[in-house]
Amino acid sequence: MSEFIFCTGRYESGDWDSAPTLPANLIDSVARYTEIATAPAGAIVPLSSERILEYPLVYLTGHMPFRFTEAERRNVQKLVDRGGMIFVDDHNHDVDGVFSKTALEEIARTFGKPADLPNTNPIYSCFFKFDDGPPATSHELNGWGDNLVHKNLKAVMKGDRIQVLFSNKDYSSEWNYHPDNKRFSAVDNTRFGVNIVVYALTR
Amino acid sequence: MTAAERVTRVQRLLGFGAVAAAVGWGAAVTMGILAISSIVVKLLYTNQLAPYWLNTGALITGITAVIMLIIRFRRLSSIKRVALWIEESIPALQYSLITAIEREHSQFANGINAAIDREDIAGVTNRAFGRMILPAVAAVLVAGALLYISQAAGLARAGSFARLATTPSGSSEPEGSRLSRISVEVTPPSYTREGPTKLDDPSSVTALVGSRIVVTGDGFATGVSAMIGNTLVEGRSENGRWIVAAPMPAKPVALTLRDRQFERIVVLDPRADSPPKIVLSAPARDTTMRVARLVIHLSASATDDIGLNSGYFEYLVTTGSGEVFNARTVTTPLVRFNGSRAGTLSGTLDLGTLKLNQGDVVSIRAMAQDVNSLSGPGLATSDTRTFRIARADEYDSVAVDAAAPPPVDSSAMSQRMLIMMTEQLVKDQKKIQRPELAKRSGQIGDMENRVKNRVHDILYELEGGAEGTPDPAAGLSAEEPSEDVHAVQNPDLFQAYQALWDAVRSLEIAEPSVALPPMRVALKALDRARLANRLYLRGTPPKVIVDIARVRMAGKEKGSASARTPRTRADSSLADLARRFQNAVEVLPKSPASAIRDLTLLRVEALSASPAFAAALSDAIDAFHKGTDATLPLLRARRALNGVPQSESGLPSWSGTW
Repeated sequence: MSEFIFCTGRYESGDWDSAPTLPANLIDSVARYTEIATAPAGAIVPLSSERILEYPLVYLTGHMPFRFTEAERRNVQKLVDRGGMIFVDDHNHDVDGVFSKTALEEIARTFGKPADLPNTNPIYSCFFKFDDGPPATSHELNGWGDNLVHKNLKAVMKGDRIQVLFSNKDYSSEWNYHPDNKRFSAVDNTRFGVNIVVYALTR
Repeated sequence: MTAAERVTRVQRLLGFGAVAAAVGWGAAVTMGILAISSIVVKLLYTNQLAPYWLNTGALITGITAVIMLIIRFRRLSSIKRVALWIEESIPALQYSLITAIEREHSQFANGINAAIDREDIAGVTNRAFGRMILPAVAAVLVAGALLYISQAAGLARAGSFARLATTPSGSSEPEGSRLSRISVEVTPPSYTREGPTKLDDPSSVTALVGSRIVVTGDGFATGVSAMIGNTLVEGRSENGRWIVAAPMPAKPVALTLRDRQFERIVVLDPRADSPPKIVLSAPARDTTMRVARLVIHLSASATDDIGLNSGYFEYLVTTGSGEVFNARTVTTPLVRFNGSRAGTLSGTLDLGTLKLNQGDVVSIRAMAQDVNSLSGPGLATSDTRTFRIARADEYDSVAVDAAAPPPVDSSAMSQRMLIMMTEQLVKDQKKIQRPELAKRSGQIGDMENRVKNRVHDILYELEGGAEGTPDPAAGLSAEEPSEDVHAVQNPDLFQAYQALWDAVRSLEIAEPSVALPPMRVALKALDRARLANRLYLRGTPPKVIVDIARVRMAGKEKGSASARTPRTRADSSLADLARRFQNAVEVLPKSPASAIRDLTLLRVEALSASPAFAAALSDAIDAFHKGTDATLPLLRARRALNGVPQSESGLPSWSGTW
């Protein structure tokens, strides 16, 4: 069995690289809490490349307009059809922000309209348990962006499986720090990231 | 026979006649009301059935008529009244009959009876009976005729009796199936501006979503039912043919037609109106600029399968940095295409009017709408082109940093100087001794070598570590990219590097004249690289390598996962289709009709799950209907589901034992 490689998707339209240390942080967490064989560094793969199909989980983020080119759209559709999962996080933490608006529009156009994900979904209990649904981020609690604490994530489902997970909670800011700094936290705030990875690999 | 016995006999006959007449009139009244109401309803509301309450009302009215008539004939219950009626009808009796009844044991009884015997009481009674019965019979016949004219269901016609008799009666029932020859008229939605098309005996109807589908067949609609999926569709009769009409649904569905024990399935295969397509042809690529002073020519072309309604350009201006970003959207006025299938958009955008600041990004795209007024309009968006205003503090782009000479430029200047030095050395070559030549050539060669090393650094700095997948086999070591990669990605620098190699080698062995050609080649290649298109290169994110061994299972807490549920198979829908297909094929030899029905229903689901399988099934079903060989279509269907059988070359290896 090959090891898990955390994949950041590179898209043409915006700042896909706005959370550069998040992949390393989640890789660290996956290795720290699970026995999943994990590559020490993530991969950055253009969505327009068919190499994207080699990764079970693709992470996308940004602040700026989010639009797929035709090649990108074709590949991400193939990816989810083949059982892959895409995690899109709004780095603006703003439902009225340009990333959220354009990303939701693009997701609806490409995969179908995303709906609120119930907080009882297995993604909240597949490794760590989050009884109240998605954990709040410091950006939410400090009133950044839209000044909202989002109760739910959004998702495009196929049957009982999440194909595309969309977050306005700005985990890209929350988890974007060097993993060595994790030791200063009383509670590791990247635990939900572990759930996302475990869910993508087991569902 | 005594007088009393005679009167009793008359009483019974007239009583029977009265009851029969009452029932006859009641039936006539009921049928008359049904017939007239059916005719009136048909005249007022074309081809509609009479309301149900009219049937009940007619029945109640008929029963009321029966009761009233029986009450009217209530006097027949008294024997004396009957005797008096006979006396009234035959005056010659001179009350002898009533006297005989009242004084039955009188001494004159024999004489009276003899006198009574002489009179024709039976004839009078029979005439009276006829007068009671015949009008009632005539009324029943007239009402029956009216009912027949009104097309009663009991006579295999639609009418008021359709509520009372659901099964057509024997002789009027059509002998064969009324579904054997059907015709389908497809009328596309009005926005398509296309006329209707007719299909004869189709097994499948493909049409735009929202099209009006009208199915007609021989015979009246009574007994013919239609189901679209699980929804019953009312049929009607027109010009001696049954008609079922419904709009084309959004998803494939089976239209099941039934006529008594006969059944026919027609697959309704909806074709979605494709959204338009639009291509932004100008500007052709993304651009980064220092100052927002540019007039951009915009051009886009749009196409649609039905017709375009309008199009426009959209500018999305994003400003901000860090965690604070704002965006505003500007759209150009609509350009109307008036239903044409292709159209172009053009315009200009003056970036100066957008009041852009450093770091701002303008995203431009073209959009078009089609004329679909039913489920649309379909919206098309083009690829996005971005125009970015560079920040003053950016150093990741050679295009925006004009102040400091980039490394490539300094290499090129050194190279030109070295060529001049080498040319001078070649001129002096005949005047100086060999050691002096070797010394000066070696010095130039050292400098040329530094240029070569600098180009090497630039080449590998630009190319290395931009992105890629870590090779697990390579571990953490940074493997130098192969030369082939550079030759493709930066051919000018690579050519310069190769030429500098040759030049350095020649200079080191004191052959400056041989070194000059490759030095000039290197200069030209460096010039080309310097003048090449400037591309904005995003900064490469810092690469953090996690020490997996150190952090492995060192977390502050352990997960407590909930019980996992089995995953559904990713291809469960195809597996289900394959299972049902196999079942249908197995049933085929024993019960072809049932198998064809199963295959037809299977095709409905396959239209969305596996179009190739559905197409092969369609051919197979058509072959069954025509009575031709369906082997090949069935084979294609199986392969569409299971893939082409895999074969391995050569014989299987021998296991070593028998």
